[in-house]
Amino acid sequence: MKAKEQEFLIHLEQHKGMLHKVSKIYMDDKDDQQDLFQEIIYQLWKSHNEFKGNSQLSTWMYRVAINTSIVYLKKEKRKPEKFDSFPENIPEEENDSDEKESQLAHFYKAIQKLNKIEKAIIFYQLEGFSHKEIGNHLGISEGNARVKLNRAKDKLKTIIKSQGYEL
Amino acid sequence: MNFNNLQSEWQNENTENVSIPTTLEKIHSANMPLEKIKKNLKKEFIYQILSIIFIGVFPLLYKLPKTAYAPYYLLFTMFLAVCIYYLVKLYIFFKRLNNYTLNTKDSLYETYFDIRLNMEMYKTFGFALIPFLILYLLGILYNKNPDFVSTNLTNNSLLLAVFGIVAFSFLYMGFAVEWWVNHYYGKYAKEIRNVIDQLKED
Repeated sequence: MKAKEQEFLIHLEQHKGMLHKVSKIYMDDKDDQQDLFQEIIYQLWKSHNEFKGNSQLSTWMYRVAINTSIVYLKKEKRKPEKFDSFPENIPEEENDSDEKESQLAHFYKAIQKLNKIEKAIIFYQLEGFSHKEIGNHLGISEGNARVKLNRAKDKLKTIIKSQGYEL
Repeated sequence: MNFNNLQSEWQNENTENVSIPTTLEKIHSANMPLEKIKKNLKKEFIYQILSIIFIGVFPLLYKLPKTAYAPYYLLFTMFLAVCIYYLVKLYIFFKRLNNYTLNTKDSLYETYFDIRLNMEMYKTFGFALIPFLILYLLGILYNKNPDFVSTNLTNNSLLLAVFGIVAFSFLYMGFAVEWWVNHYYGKYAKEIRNVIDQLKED
């Protein structure tokens, strides 16, 4: 295996958790999540030569992962989104999980109903990005990022409540 | 909703069991809009070549009179030049890589304009073929019924027939190309436009 590929795979191993979470936010079906996960890896690999080192590698990976997820098209052969069946799509270990994982399961279920930009904003927030950084990643102003984040949070709260759950 | 709690649970989520590929050779892109468009274009490229071959051998298959060969192949050469020009342009256009490393807004705009540009190029290609369609139809009319052309040179019947052919060609190509482009490419542009709109200030 080439050294470049090996080095890339090491970086990928370090950030696989983040990439997996992006896939779970954008796709509710497990197979779709897997496909998106692979697509993100492909796009990262394809464009990693363009990474100039002006920013952190992780920052660049976040950007490619989110941009890929936003334009990614779900495979047509699969059934349309069916939120009621979502818990079946959560990995086994999460089904038998404690309260905390159950909260996350409700969160993942609810976030499927947000639009693609709202999903990105919530994701960046959960990853600890500031309003300014979220704005930079999305190409919008800090103020716009703040407004959109607050709206997305309110929307998420309402959806979770409508599921009969409160975090 | 306590977002801080959610954030700490999010950060502590166990992702150790997530596996990544051991090699990158076999992974490929399948469900990105530009990839889908590339696939469509590849298929169309094959059909275009088959059509060009068919049009090229048409006089031999249908035994056109020898006198028609020169004007037919003159027209065919021009048709071929137009087809090659657009097919090569479309091919080169989609050989270049899309950029997902920009910020989201710029990346979406770039993808959107790439798709729109492809759609417009495709429409121009369709419209550039209209004169050939008109000339081919006039050629067929003459070949099927040479008397009609020679006996009606001075009255309105020929004029009406020519007008009918021109109108049909424009309407047919106009609607067909518009429908085709919007059906196969417009949906991707529309979806990306919707996401761009979600980024706008409220």
